Amino acid sequence: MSYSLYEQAPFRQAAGAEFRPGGLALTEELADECGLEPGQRVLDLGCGVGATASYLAGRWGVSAFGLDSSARFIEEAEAHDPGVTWVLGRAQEIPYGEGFFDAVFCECLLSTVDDPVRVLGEIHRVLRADGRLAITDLYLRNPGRGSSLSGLPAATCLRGAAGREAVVSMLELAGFTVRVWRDRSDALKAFMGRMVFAYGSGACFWEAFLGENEDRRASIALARPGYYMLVGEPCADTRRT
Amino acid sequence: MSDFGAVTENDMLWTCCRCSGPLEVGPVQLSYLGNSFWIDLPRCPSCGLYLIPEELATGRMAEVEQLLEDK
Amino acid sequence: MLVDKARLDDFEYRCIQEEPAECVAACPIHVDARSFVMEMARAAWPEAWKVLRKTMPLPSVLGRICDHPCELRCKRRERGDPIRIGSLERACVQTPQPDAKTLPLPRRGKRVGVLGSGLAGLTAAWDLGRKGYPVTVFERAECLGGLLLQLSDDALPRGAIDSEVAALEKLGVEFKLGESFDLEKVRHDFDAVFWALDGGSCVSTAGFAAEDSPAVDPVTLQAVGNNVFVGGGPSIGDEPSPIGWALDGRRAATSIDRFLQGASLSAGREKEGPQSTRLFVSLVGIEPNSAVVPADTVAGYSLEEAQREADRCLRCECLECVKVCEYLDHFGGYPRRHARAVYNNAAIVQGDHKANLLIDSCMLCDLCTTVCPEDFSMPDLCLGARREMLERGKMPPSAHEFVLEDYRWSHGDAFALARNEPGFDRSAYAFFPGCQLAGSSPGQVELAYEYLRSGLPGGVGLILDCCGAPAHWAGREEVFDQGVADLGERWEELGHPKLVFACPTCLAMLRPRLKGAETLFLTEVLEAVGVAVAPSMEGCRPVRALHDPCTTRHHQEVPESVRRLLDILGQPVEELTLSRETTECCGYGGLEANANPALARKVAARRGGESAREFVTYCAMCRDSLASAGKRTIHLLDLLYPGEEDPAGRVRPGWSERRENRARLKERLLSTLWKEGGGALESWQTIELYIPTDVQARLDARRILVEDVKQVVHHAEQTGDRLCHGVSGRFLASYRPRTVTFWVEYSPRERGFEIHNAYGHRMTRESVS
Repeated sequence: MSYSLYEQAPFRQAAGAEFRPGGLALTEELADECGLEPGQRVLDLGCGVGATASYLAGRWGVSAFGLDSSARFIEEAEAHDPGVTWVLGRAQEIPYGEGFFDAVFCECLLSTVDDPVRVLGEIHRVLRADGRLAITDLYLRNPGRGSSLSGLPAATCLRGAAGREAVVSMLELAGFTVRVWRDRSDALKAFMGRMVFAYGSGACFWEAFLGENEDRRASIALARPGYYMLVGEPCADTRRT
Repeated sequence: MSDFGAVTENDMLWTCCRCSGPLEVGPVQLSYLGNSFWIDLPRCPSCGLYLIPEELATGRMAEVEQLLEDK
Repeated sequence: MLVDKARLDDFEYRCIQEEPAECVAACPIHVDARSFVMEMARAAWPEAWKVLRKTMPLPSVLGRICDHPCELRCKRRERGDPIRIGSLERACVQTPQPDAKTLPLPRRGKRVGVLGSGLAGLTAAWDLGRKGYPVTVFERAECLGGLLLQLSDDALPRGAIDSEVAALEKLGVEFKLGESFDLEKVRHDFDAVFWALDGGSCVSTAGFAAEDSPAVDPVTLQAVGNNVFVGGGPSIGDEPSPIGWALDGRRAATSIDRFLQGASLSAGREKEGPQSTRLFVSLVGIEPNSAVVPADTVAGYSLEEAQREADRCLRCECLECVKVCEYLDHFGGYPRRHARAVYNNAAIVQGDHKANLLIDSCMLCDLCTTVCPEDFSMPDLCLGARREMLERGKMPPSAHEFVLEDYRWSHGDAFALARNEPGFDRSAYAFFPGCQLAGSSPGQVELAYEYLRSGLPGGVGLILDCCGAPAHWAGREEVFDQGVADLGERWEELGHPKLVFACPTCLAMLRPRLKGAETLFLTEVLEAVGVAVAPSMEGCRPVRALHDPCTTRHHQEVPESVRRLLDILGQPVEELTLSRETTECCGYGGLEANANPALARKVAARRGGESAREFVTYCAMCRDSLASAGKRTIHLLDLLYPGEEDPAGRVRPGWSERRENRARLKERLLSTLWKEGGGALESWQTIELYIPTDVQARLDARRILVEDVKQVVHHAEQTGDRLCHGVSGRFLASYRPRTVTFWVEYSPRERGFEIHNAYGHRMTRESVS
């Protein structure tokens, strides 16, 4: 089992059952933008202990699936909500067929993987032609200054964080059109506030997050991390192979 | 105590004057500029009077207040 | 778009820090000679090479033979010999060239022919080859180089030419030697042609008759209406100029590139060739020195000699404002950068914390504007930004809140007062001492007022109030304007008296805004009416350094009057370097002390450090700021009304004390002069507190007022909402009078309460579950 921030006790307690800025309120916004309908098959990639998938099933009546690479999390999710289909697996190899899902949710996931384009490719494959991709994640509001961020430990939610242009380009490269982009950095502020209360100070939190490298912490501030929500759909005629 | 050292043993030496009983740690919702946080604080179980210790006020809380003020 | 681009452009234009140094502007191809020389001074030969290589074509050649017009404009020549930039370049290109990354170029379809392999032709080939054009160089002789071959081997070793030719070949440039060429054929075979004259006239080099020479456009070098470009001919004054040939080659390459892409040949060519520059470089304190003479005049500088010569460089830059301002020094950079940061949506729109601090830490004192050759005004930038942030709701609440509350209090009933002199129904004069003198030395306000009443005819009224500077500095114009309007009304009610100010800031704020009011500074009256030093201070007039408050900057008659008065009082004065129009702020201006206390302390300490002597000043805030930074300082009035043993050592009264002083001053004057009783006190105001000195200091640092502490204790005692400590028995309670919740730890005493601690926060309780 790999160590990650998300499994640390202080983080879990502060973040609550939802590990992400914005929590379920943001998920609700996303679901609304997607126009989910009862019975649709919806996948939560990187589902953790299952807050989003359970919520989508309960509130929107969808047939919810949750995929995560942590056996511990899947176990917990199963215990909390046996009504959802929980799958132990990797986002880089989604064990479902072409066009299986009507929507895929990717909350604070893409910036933690080494190969987001590959993951997007998988999503593109398992998403039906006019399905929806719903993303929330960190991004850098001053990307020019974030150059030293690429040396971050994997599995922390800032690693692949890039500026807005880079994010949109990556999606287009993977065969998606961006329908909605909204800055939700206010959610990050509230989240950071909880982190400060939990860890004792911003500095302590970033240290737990990033390790002891002073330069990385300094460059985070310069790059002005923010949070965004995005809804995309597969491009009409460019199905990536 | 589950809140990562925000409340210390010293803080628990305070008692409620009116109800003359010890305080118990429990969640209190605090907010600033539209953002709310549930913080575990010592409170009187009878009348609800609660304590915000100095270290919390001048430390984490001040940092969060500034974080929220900056856009 | 929210940004006012015109305003930003104006700011950026004024700050000349980014203007090129003379050497760079003088160079026809704008080699960054300044950076080059700086690297040479560091003995960083590879880095110096890279600087040259960025701009210079055929650097191994040109670096050795350039005729260095930069030296004619080198600023150093105003203090000794100009830097021998040419010789430094020679020394540099004799060291091994660092490896260059060669990027594969996208090949372009159009072919370019160059006639002549002198420096002009080779330069054109260099530039066009780099842009990916297939270039063919024709040379009638058997060897490449044209006029370059006429130079001695010492001046230009063949190996240097060869290595650059090899570099050209790597770019895909083809050479056709030993062939005579037919211009018409070449014109036909190639898409564009550069006829590189190599210093001579058309006849001698190209083999054409004089009458065939075409009309050539001097900027684009195009033979009008043609695909032929002509350059590299005799330079200015017919002196051979290698850099001139290189410029022509570069010009032609630019023109050819545009020609082949169908773009305008002439647009935006103004920056080509030598330029003027607006950069200002101060020569104050620069001692003249002479150039290093090389031991071997043929070989030129050894590396050690080169480093010594490069070290003479002035490293031209402006930074005049940064040199005199602790705030600008602290934040680094220079005003142009700050203007961009402020306007770049970093601050005004998004409220970024770092930019906030930059905006709120400016003392708004105008020293930068005064020393800047182009009048760049940081106050303009920062005060404008503060106002915009307020308009957009981006100003953090805690930034100036404390001071604005203080202003409202002083402007309200607790302190504000406007009265005619007892026995008069109108006032010919009115004394306006200001809120800081009243807060810090209320006794001196009383004595000065008494003096004015006895010395001036027609009735001397009194106006106690705050002029509103805090509101103005915080960017709150409506609050400020309303306050000024209120003061205008008081002034009218008293019968339009001549206003006598004791504080330069009040004068600076109100003189321009109270239309029709005559305004005087207190010292002008003291001079006219006559005054003498207090007996106890007669033996205490060592030379003191005079600090002019920054708000006198645009009202120079005040510093002049002060100097005359100090002379009358027998107080000898040391003039600080930065005084009068160029005086420095004490750290309180612009509310810096409020927004950035640490920096304000540095500012005050810096000022205090400018003389070993005690200081004398004539603003209560300046006096207290300097004193807080540990500098012994007297106020001018201390010479008249010393009030205590050691005025220079007096500690700055804290915020609470200032409030009390003002409130008591009003009460005292009302009761003794106008026989009016005090108003009824609220019950919490009657609470007696005993506060140990260390606790007082903590309250002051945390900006917790004694009256706030009283309200907390009062609330706790009334409601019973308080905690009790199991061991010490002390009480702890909280109360939120306005926007901050204060917690106070206290114990009852026989009379009143002792305060042990206090702290505050802004977060409020939503609900308790």
